[in-house]
Amino acid sequence: MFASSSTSENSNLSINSIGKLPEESSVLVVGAGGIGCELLKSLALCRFGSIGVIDLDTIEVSNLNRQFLFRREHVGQPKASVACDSIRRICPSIHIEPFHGDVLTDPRFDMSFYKQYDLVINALDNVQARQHVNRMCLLCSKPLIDSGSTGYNGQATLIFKGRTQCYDCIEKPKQQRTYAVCTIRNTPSQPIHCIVWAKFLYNQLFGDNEDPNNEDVTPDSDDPENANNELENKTNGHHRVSTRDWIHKEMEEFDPKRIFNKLFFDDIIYLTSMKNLWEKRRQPIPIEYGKACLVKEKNQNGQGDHDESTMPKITDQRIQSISDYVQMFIDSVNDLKQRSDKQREIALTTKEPTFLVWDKNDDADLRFVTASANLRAHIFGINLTSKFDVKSMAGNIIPAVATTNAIVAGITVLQARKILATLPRLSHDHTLTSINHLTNVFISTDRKTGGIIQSIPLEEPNQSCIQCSDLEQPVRVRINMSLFTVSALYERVIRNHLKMNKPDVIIADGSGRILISADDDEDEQMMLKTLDQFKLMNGTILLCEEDYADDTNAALTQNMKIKLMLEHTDTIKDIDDYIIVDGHVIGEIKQSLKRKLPDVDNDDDDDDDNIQHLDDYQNEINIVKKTKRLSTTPNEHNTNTNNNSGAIHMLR
Amino acid sequence: MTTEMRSTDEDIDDQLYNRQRYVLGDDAMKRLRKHHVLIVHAGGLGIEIAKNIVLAGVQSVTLQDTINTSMLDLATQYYLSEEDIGKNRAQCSLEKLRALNDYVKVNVSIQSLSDCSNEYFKQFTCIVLTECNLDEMKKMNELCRINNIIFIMGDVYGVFSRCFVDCGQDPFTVYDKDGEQLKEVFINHVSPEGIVTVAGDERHPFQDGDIVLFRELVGLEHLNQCERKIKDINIHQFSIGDISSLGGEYKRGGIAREVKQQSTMDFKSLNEQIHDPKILTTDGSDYWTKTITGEFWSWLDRADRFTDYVIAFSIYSYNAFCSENLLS
Repeated sequence: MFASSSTSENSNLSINSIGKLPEESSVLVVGAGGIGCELLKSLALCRFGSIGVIDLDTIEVSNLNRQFLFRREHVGQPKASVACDSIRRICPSIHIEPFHGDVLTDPRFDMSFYKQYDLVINALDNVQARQHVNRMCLLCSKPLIDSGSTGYNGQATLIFKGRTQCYDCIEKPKQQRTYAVCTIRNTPSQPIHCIVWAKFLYNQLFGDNEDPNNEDVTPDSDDPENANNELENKTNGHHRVSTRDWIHKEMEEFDPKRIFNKLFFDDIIYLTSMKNLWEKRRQPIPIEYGKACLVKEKNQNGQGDHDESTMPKITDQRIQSISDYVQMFIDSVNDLKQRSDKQREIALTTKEPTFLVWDKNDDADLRFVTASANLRAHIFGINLTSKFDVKSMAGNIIPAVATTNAIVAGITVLQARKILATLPRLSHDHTLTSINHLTNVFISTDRKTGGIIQSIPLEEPNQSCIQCSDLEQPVRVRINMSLFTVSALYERVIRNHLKMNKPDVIIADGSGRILISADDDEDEQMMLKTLDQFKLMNGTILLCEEDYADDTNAALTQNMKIKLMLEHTDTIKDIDDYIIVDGHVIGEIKQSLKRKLPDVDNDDDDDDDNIQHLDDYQNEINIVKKTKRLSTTPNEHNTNTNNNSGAIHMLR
Repeated sequence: MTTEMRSTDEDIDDQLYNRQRYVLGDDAMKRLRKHHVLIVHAGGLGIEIAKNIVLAGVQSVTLQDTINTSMLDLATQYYLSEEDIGKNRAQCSLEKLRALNDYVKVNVSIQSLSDCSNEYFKQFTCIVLTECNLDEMKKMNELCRINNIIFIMGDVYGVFSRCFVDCGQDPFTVYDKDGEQLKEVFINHVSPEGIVTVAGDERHPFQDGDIVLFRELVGLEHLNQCERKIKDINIHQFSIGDISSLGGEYKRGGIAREVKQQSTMDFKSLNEQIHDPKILTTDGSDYWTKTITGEFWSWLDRADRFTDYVIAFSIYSYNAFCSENLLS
């Protein structure tokens, strides 16, 4: 109509291709942040027929530097709504709908929601949400473009069920690096080890006492390198007590100077007594409060010192003297103690927690970690870190600029247009060949690889990927998760309705958690808990699996697997009520035969280390693994991942 | 609503710029904020450049355009709408650009380049040309080189694009080639032949030609505070050359840290490059493509001005087009 002449430039691209034009297509954009804003701009300019935008966040000042659809007056408002308003100003005739909610948990975003769109694009900043959208797109057979960026690097990768690798086909390197216990507590060698230690210290002093992930910070005498140490018996036993307990036992009055001396003098002296540790390493040098106050010269280890370019440093980028950090430590400890006491008072009359939670944007929190980490680094002869850098390392900040996001968005839209042009071919050919003219695209400033933009061919799905190799439709059961108990799920739905006997029930959300184990005698308490207490999301899939003897042939066992998808609804008020959606699916459940192996324990894939029982829900802070290996080399996981050398995994 | 905000010399507004500080570094951010940028033509490309530069936080941006909004602009210039048709593109975009960043002064000019004096251009530290013809580009480039103004040219044609950068006739100093943190290792041993063994399981981070500075060595005190160029041997060792002349023997301890090297770059003028361009393609495509692409651009520049239709068409048949016209 009127729009056609202004899109004539764009329509030239589709002259020679069959398939859908943008004007005829609908696209779902998950995320309205850095990439999201640029993406929406480009999609609007292409005149897509209909756009849906999901984002759970509200706008913050730090977003304004690159999320250009937002202005200062919008701070505090939902990103999805404001983004749509801005886009409508750019293109008044466009049909664009905001959804302010969490793509992971919001009941609106069920399978029928996704089915409304031709194409889904991820513009997310975390692995969990990506995995969830990946699963939903696989289930609904929707093409998915996963986009992301960090700093100067970015990507736009394609996910087609059954034809390409899905997001989970290749295991992603962990979001957070994990460090061995002894590295953090005994033998740090890098600034990050000291920063992680400082965050743990924060939790010991001011954090949640009940948190099982709260790691101790005192020297670890169980360090395997410390075996055969005779001196252990000589030193006093205070090191065996956790810092938190020590404070409560030893100090009637909270005394920051005594805490200082315990952490930076007494504990260090104890460490040096573990002689084996220091045979090949530089021994730590303890500092006593009185003496440390006097160290006025700047430590030569500062990272910032190399810069000869004559630009004076901004305050928080400077490395300060040891006496400065001593003062910073004492001051911040006092500030936080006051705050902690106040918090305890508040908690008596409200639902607020009794403890403090570390926040990178809080000045006292940041000063505490900066001071503690640098004092420890000084002791071990490690580089000091400016407050600015501590914030990024301790706060897991992802660096971002507008330009990279603009490039990623541009490439993503080109990918989208190619997919739309390809859609008709997909119904005839279900293999990779139907789309092998498409590629994954990576943006990287690594010039050695021959270009800033790399086009990498698509790859076949991983045959043993749990998410996409099992392509059966799940049985959808609709319940009220805040009323429905585990027991009701097991007895009424799984055993009674689906006619399974005593299967294992595994949560297929990438964590590998077991909800119900057929072998264990589940305690009554757990079975009576409602499903929402297990951090199950709307759309979570449970894998119910069991082997049972074949009636006809004693040497064979039947393996039965049913995928159960939980959908939450508030409209159900009865605690026993459930609705099976699409009942006919149950008839199509595949059953496979397995040869029974005599005398062999079939449980050898039960790796206890990987099973997390539902009580330990993973904390966002670096988890210190209980194994005693030295920290892994940074290059290790590069050799394990696939050849997509540009693959970006953690992105905002 | 926008009051002019002047940041102090000392501090960068961390609340706003935090994520960008971690990408560019504060050094770059401080230099950035001293720049006065001129962007010529407010088409799709010009506005995208303007948007990114204003967000980044320079001192001022001047958007200069003589052309009025047409229907074609609406496809790519997102700050223009139907009611702007017939009006000057830069003027119509001004308010929206200003709203992007309170710290940046945004101006508009409707003069043509040829009507502006050399003095006018000297107020800028960086000039970006879009949608200009070759003569305009060459003239501007010469002016920039003489006055040490950074010159950037960019153009987009359908899915093709090009960009040219000239940072001036004086050698351009690179203080930090990768912007990464200084690499540093603990030392396990130093042999008299100068073979350094690093501590721990990790691969040492240094490469051939890196320069390292030593400290805290016990036994080899003469090597402390010395800079040495290294040669990579294996993942745990590198060589710094014979050190027996320094005296002493390694006992224990020691830390080696990278010393960043400055380097300089020389930029060629547009005039020099255009006849024999050194082409860097963004996707690393091969020599054959580079040759054709170079010829294609030369052909474009020989033409006086081209419509977007011609370019769009030729994207699909440029092989035939080129082979017919270029080789004749």
